[in-house]
Amino acid sequence: MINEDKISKILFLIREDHTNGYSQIPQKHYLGRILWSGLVSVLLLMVIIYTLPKTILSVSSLLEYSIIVSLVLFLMILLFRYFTILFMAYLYFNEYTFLTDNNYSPFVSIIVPVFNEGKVLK
Amino acid sequence: MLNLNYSNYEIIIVNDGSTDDTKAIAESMVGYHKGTVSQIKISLINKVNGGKSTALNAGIKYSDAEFVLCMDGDSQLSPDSLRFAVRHFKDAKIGAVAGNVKVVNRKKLLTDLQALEYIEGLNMARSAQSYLRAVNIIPGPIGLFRKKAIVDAGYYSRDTFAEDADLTLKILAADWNIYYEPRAISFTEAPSKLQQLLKQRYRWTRGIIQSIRKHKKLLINPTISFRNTAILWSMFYEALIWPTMNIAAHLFFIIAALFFGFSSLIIFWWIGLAILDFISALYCIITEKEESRLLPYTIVYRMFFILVIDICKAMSTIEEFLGIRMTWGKLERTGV
Repeated sequence: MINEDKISKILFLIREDHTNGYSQIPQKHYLGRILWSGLVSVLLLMVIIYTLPKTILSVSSLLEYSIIVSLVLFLMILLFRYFTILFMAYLYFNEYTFLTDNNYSPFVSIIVPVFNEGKVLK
Repeated sequence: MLNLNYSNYEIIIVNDGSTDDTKAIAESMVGYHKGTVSQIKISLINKVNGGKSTALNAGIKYSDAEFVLCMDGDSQLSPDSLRFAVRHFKDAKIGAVAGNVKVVNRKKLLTDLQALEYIEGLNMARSAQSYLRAVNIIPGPIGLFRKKAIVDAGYYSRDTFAEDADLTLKILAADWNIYYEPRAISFTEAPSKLQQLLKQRYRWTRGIIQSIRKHKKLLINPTISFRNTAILWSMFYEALIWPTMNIAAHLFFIIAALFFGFSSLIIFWWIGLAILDFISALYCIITEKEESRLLPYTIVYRMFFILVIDICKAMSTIEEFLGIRMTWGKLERTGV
């Protein structure tokens, strides 16, 4: 129910300082980068193919080595990431306090933006 | 929202040019209502459609309060959320408090997996970042801000698809601290269809990349603020490097298993990851007092869910760098 006596209508202007939409990046710029990195990768591959017969490594042993190295590297990064997060989260919970101060209750505005959400708002 | 265990608050609804009956429903709510502790004033701002960021800015500018809680229209706050979040502002350096987002529409495989992801992937990372007082994304469904911090940051911007990530980075750049409060809970409806989920993650990833790019000065120059450089690199790693590494590693290891006889090694590798996820999920479920039935999902979580999400992240990263235009897309709410 609307409380008519307690409602006042205010008309105010909100100045919009921001640009509309977001900036698009020129496609040519990034396509150039992709092409360059592709070219460098092909060159590297050719260097490997050309120099491999001159080393003691065979193609299959190179693949085996690279698989093992990748596996270990991937796991190391993963474990480092996991344990850093876990350790810092542990430190956070360690310092976390459950105490609340009932005398501290500043005024708070809850802003609820809605767009075609009448069903949920109800 | 009238049931909050807090005495001193008001609600400002900002109708962002709705085309359905939202305006009429919101108007019927305007006035003073009996709350749990006190009378609560509900105000309404009707504005032309301009997106969530402009709606939030309108509400913030209209508000006279020292603190504002920004949320989504479809989120529900737990009764103690405000009481627990506001206490951190006794520290004058705290500019914002990030809340704890929980999935409300569970009991489906996809939404249960997201519930686990919110607990293990998002909230645990927020706890870790909170130890440094540098949470890097204040979630849209619940963020409590010191109004001065928002003013210092220059309000919400419209030039990214992740306005919450962008504002968080701007607040950190303005030298404010951001804390995480796990007991300030907001329940939100998660996408229940894969297509909706991928659309959501696509938008999140592109928005985060846009936000990182906006603050690239901080990314490459640690002398401005070492803390902020570290935060941006961690975001860069999570949004770009990790998904690429994960997909490449999976492809590489599948090929190695199929063609080079490494299948047993790969199986051990996957089992190892699943155990790691299980331990991590167990820790998070205990600390958050969450449902233990989510634990078995850790196997599906690592093997399939994260991989699908990472593929989506990689695709959106490529599209972002190619500058392909995207539309907002909107999750169809069922009003759970």
